[in-house]
Amino acid sequence: MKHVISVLVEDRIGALARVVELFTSRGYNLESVCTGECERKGVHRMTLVTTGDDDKIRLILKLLKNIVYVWEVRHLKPHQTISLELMLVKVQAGVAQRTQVLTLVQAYQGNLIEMNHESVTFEIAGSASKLDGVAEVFSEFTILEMARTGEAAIHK
Amino acid sequence: MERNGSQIILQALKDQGVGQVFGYPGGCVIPLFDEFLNHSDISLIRVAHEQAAAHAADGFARLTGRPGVVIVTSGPGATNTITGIATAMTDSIPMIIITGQVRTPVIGTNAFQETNVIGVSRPVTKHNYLVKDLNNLPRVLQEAFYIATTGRPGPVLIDLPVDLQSLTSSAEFVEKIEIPGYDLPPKADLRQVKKAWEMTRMASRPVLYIGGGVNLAHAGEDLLRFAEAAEIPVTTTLLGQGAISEDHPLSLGMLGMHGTYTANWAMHRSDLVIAVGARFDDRVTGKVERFAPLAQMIHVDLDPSEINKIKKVHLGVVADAKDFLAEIGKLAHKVDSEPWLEEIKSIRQNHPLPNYDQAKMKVGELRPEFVIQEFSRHLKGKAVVVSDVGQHQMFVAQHFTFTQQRSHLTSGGLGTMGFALPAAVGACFAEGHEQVVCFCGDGGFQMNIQELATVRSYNLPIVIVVLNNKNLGMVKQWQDLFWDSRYASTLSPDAPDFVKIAEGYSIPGSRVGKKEEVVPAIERALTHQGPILIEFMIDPHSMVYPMIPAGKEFKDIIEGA
Ligand SMILES: Cc1ncc(C[n+]2csc(CCOP(=O)(O)OP(=O)(O)O)c2C)c(N)n1
Repeated sequence: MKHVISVLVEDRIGALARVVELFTSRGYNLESVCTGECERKGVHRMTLVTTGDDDKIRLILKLLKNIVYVWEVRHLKPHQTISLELMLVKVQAGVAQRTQVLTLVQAYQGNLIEMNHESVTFEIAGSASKLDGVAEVFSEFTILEMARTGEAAIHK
Repeated sequence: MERNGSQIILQALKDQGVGQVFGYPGGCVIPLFDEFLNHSDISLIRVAHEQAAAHAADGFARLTGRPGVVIVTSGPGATNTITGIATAMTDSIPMIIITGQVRTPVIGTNAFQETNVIGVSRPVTKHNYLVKDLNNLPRVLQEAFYIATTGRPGPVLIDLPVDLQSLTSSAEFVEKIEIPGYDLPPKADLRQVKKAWEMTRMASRPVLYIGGGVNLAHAGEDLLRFAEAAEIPVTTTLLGQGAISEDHPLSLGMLGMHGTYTANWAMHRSDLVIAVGARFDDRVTGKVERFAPLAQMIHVDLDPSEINKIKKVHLGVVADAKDFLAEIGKLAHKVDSEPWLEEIKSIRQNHPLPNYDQAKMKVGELRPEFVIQEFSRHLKGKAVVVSDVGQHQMFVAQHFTFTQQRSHLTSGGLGTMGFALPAAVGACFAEGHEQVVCFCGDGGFQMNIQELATVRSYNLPIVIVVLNNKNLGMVKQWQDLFWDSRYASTLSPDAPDFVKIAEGYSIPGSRVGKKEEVVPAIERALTHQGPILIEFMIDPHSMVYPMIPAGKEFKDIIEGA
């Protein structure tokens, strides 16, 4: 089962490392980490995506809260969550494939960022599952480079 | 007031009531060590190895409940402390470690003796700091002591670049410590306490399963009041020993892999286990699904992450052990536990620990159980017993009768060989301590044997007992039981002459190889002023019994000879 955890953590030396290490040292999955400033000064909001059964998640939540610099830990349930991920993709596309790529980008409500004679670079935002779909659809082209930010999430 | 970094540290240590620091010098702490020369009211105990500094601070903290303090240099000085820090972390022991670091401008350049100490120590500390701005140092020191000693205690490390030790700042200590993310455990929820008492009252075979948390919380008296009021038998873990006097009729002794038959039997039969300050370690539970299989479980711990971690419980209470035991003690009254206590009594009579008294021992055979029983008989519990790791540790746990809380100092969770001698050193710095007796095997003793130098230079009154079986007994025991007696790397026929070694450090020593010599040697040691070592040449084939092999359950218990 996939779980989304939102963590408020003080922006201090080693704070991020402690959060991430908690997962590695206990052998838990960490599918994605998205972190950055939030509504409070000096504090970061991290969105962690992990998998595991309910017991494991309950333990992770408690262990996260035990970290001194962690202010708040929240288990975000899908129906109470607004989440979004950003994906940057550069696909190989000469003149012949360009229209096809652009049509798809538009269909996904993505934005064109750059284009030249051999490639098209665009961004698409959406839920993680939407982006999984995007990745699959574009796999019929040659993807030169792709980067995903991991989900950022907040409570509804 | 303008102060340099070293002066700030000394001030903080004094404000915290620290009387001594365990340390070892080096390039990145010269300014800080120098500052100690300006203060006569705080001493710097120079050990012989940084690992030992950490164990000494740990031993002091285990005995007193106050944090032990360590100061070492950067790089190898810092990495040498890691085993000691991990040992303290695993057993929730409060400790402050100050490591020197290379100068601020060269951090990150692989400068001479630079190690990423913050990174290396992160997994084994409750919290750690790298101080890059001297103005933060006063606050960091206050926070470090606060974090190390509150909630679930643990080691906190401060990495301080050497240049900051001489730079000055006018930063003051803060009035109020504010760490927004750091929560203290709540007071015991009285509804939960009431529920716990209701469950206890309804049970017919209750057992209290007491861990190190009760010793850490100094909650022995509260435990006794509750256990006596409701007449509930008590078993403890290795680290919980002494929380209830082991000569009390309700004490079942230690449980777990090498626990008493009675304690393990009682857990197996119990219909209600009340676990307080214990964490269901695998050395206690064996096969988890078959641990106390008939019992409802109440688990009291101040760390919420311990509850339901190993075993699903019926009632989890997040609270300090002392607080919980005091509250439930107020509700408790006698329940009808007569048949249960009677049953336990008969089990106890029929299944005593394997016993080796003088009469049963063959001539020329010296059994470790007997040696320890004799120490116990002479000391009557009035001692600080420090044990290392191995068979002798389990023999001490079984055959020494602990009557006071915090009187058995041993590395439980990490099982760190080499712990005992330096921890005994640390214990000697507790005011008004009882006789310190340090039990080691011939293997572990050699892992911090250099501390004989510290023992000598501070003339520490430790009775050092080496139980020499000329092998790494605990591992050999597993080889005997599960590996066809194939002794890969466990025999030490060339173990050194420990008496000669002691003499090399100007510590008197004697060797005992016959049972008749045991009592006189103990009497001599206990009346001796200053340090003394006795090496007992024990039966090399002694095995620790009873034993529930790893991952097994009560029915698999081997009662032994
Ligand atoms: C630092 C460390 N290394 C290895 C071990 C594994 N180990 C556990 S008990 C033991 C044997 C200890 O031998 P000794 O100190 O002679 O004590 P005995 O068991 O013979 O009483 C060993 C090697 C350990 N616990 N700690």
